[in-house]
Amino acid sequence: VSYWHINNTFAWCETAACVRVCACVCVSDIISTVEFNHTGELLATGDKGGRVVIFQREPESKTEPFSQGEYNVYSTFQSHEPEFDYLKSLEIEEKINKIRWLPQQNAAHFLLSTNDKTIKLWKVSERDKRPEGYNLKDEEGRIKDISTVTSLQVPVLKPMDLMVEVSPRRVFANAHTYHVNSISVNSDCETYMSADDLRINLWHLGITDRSFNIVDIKPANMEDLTEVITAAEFHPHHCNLFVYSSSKGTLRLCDMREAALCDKHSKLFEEPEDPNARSFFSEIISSVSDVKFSHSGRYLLTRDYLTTKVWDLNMESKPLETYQVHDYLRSKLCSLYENDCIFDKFECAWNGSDSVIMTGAYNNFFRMFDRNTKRDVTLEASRESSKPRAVLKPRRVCAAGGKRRKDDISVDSLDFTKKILHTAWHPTENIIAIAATNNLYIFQDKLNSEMH
Amino acid sequence: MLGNGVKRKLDEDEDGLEEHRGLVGDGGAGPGGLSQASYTLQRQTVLNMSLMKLYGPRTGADLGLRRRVLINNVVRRIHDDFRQEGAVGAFFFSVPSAAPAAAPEDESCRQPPPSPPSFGVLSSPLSALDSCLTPASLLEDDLPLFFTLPPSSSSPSSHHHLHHSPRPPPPSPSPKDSFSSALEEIEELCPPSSPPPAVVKEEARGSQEEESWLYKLRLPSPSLPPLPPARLGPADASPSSPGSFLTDFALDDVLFTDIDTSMYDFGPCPAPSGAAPSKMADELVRSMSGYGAAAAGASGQNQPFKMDLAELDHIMEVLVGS
Repeated sequence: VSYWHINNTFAWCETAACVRVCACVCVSDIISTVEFNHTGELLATGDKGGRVVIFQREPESKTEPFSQGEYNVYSTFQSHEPEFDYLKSLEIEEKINKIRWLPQQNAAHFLLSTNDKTIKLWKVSERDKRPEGYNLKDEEGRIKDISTVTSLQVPVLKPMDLMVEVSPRRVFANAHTYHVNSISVNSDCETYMSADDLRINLWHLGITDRSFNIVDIKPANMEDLTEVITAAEFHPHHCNLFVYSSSKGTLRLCDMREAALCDKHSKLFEEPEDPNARSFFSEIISSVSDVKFSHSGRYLLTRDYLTTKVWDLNMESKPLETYQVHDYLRSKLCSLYENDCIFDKFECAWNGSDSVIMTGAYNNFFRMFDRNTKRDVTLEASRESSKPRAVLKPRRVCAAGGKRRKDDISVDSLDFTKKILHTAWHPTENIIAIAATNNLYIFQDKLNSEMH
Repeated sequence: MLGNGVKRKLDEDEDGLEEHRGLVGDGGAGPGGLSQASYTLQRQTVLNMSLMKLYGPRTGADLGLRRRVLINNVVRRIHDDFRQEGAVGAFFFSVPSAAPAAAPEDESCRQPPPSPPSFGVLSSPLSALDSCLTPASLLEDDLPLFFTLPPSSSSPSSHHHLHHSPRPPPPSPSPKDSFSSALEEIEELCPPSSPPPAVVKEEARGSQEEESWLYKLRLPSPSLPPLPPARLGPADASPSSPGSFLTDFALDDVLFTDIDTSMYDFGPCPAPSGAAPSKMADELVRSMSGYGAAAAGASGQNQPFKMDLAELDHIMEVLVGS
């Protein structure tokens, strides 16, 4: 068995202590989003219960070189609560659909979290010192009797136990009729957008009572509706550009300089349908579940049900690269339609150098594709098979009827309830976070970390 | 149908589907690639599943808009497939494109979940499965919403009609009421000759979505396409096979007739301009009565939903053959 390599030789191993342990699978604990901040020092997860858990990477210690890279719980807070829309008689779930970090501008960290309807801006700050030795106040802050003050001293900051404070700063509500599926902070650091099934709104981070509708694909007559927006993201460098994906498998690049309402796209990325591969499910499996700009801003990464694709912004007619994530499911589409798995929304992620892409699959498997060497690997995130620092063994699924090697997993024994929908890659290092139902796994490229 | 996240039971569940699954999924499932019969069976299987998903017990809020739209597109596609195969197929299997309209969170769709036009004229012959899936009670509930322009007129009128009591004089709606303002708008929109649908569309797009329910109400009157003559002829309602599917039309017949009169009495459009819509309604009623008669004549009562696949196949053979 050969381990998979990226650039240099390394294998993925699990970092310790960060797996969230929950004996029972409570629905509210199911992780619904994972996101590193811009330095990779913090990692936020949101779950179905409306909670946000922030993990912080431990600083490197000289005595324990291995401890570097371990993420420990930094703060936990309740971001959203279940609500009820009395006008429409609808329950609004508290589930966190997306988290996005703002670029750090001072000691505090800011993040946006959203459920189906409401986006919130949170400030995460820490306090580890307190001032001591005031002349006119005592330890509890009471004013001293002036007559007792006989000498003056300079107050000093004394260290104390670290306290992480999370406070809500803004609540952006009442702008979405449909379910928010994406939020994206603009590179200008002043605005962000939020996308629901049919519309995209542009917000200023400081203004909560007004947003601008920049895309609206709602037809005048809802019976004419055949397409919905599935994801949207700003360009990492050009604050006027953004992309959104649709359930028909298309990507639209829009330029906000062209018009206030970007109903007309600047570029339309679409792969023509292969007439030979036409089936009842062609459209469903071509529906884009996630779209991500590369860090360079040159490429787009998309995920549909069976494949993940890399698009060049300069070529609209077809993707630059297409990677099969689990092609063996192509013969199972009818079952997957029947049990609704075909509607699962898998996300995808770039590594820091845009050379490797990662995305999830079923049976707690996730896939990585090296764009340069064209090698790929299937790894498994499971507590049974991976202990802290254990090296992950590549897994292989053998298609029905195929030649089965030892340790291969047959397609029929895949567990479709264990799916890895949400993944995130550290912005610069080879550290990945994988959400598998209610567990968060953080894996690290071993050799890379030893080199540090 | 298995629930979301429920593990598949490949072996126990769907012996009938199993053999076709590979073919359906294989991608090459074009009509040419397979024998016509198995392709038809597959298509029917997928259609059944889709309709179950759209109208089955687990519908509603947990059905996201994306899912609903995708499922609906599958249904549309199969529908188109039927249409391509010939008028007969199209006739019997036209399926309401109601799914996106059922979006619960959409303000414009807070009205009747199965969209009125798709139920009404555009795809009045509910498919075999659909007629089984859509309970008559649901249709009853929806119809008043669909046809009633003034709420004060329709529900009471249908009520009275059903009880054979004399109709009360038309209540004059208060001018402030939103419905009457809707009526005014409809009146403006009802020129003597039916305008091209595009105009209506334009108008509806211009107005914000808060008003788009008005558009829904307008739809039945001016923008209805003329009924295909084939649908009206009694010969068309092929007495043998389709009749058995159209089980719920006896009830609907009453409703339709009733609504028709209400439209005459309280019609949103005054006599000169209302000519076109009421004529349309009349046609509609006639067409529906045709179906009703067919339904009444046919033996079929409530077909069990889980129809034997072989039986469906046989029916398809008959339809395609004829």
